[in-house]
Amino acid sequence: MIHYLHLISKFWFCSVAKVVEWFSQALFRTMALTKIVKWNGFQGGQEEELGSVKITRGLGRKRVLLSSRVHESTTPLKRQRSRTSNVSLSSRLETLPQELLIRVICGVDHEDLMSLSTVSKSIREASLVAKELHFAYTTPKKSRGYRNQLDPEDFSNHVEDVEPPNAPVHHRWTTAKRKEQRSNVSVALFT
Amino acid sequence: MENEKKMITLKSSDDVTFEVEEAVVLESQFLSHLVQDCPAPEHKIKEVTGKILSKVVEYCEKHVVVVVDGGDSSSSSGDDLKKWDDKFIKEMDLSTVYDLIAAANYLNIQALLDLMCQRVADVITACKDHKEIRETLGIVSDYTAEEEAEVLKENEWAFD
Repeated sequence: MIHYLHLISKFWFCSVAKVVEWFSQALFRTMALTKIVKWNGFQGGQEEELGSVKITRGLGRKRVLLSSRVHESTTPLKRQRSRTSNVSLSSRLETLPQELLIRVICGVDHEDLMSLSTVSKSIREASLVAKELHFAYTTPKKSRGYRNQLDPEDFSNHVEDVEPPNAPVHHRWTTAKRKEQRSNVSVALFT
Repeated sequence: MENEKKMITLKSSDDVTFEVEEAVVLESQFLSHLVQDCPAPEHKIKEVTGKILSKVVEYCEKHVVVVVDGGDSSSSSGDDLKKWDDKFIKEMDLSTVYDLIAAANYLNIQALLDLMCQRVADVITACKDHKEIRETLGIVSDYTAEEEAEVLKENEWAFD
């Protein structure tokens, strides 16, 4: 009897774990990968449409649940398509599919995210996704609060020396000092 | 080595062929599946050009050699590998980097993909503001003046 119970509970745990895993996967895909991105990056030349590769991330059965998200993503898709035709040779970064753009953006620092989002629309979209996926879970690097525009290298060498203004003075407490302090308190209370 | 090294021929989209050992191919998850599934001696990779594939092969060969050799002295070989990686990414221009990102994504080589993405990220980090990023990466802004002002205004509080 106990043996059977054990088996049933084991089976139950397995299925729960699977459901959780599936759900997290589905969530990640909707955030980053559902967009159908057309691009022609592999084949050197931009002008030739022959070399274009269409990347579609098939969701299979999962699409049923995620349909609301998929509908949302159709509007940026149209915009991206119309833009690829007249994209210039120089801006190769934007021809990368969005998932790769996000991956690139995940490598920058927190403070760069702000300037990145002002660069262009597609990069803004990617940086917003990267913010949700990656930067919300990472600790920012220690930054200086303000940037010295004149000579950043020289300044960065002396970061440790700079004391914040009006910082509280740090006392070192010895046991004798602490005792003295405590005796003062007791005198004040009991007289 | 017990068995003889198996050689595999890779062919790029513009018909440049590369003959590599099987261990090199196994660096790429995509290619290792391909090799396992169809045992033909030659594999055509339509999505990657010869120039980019040569870089990929160079990278994979280097990494395989180091992994095989560096059994005991792993720390020194790791440093060597890092130095080699640095040199590898410094001597190529950004458009090659983009192609390599795409190729590494397609061929599913995680280490190469991470390396290349970090290289572009470093370029972005080196820039001070959005105008410099646009200049360095050659991006034409598709914002109108009003939209840009709006985004800038939004950024004031959005990225605290």
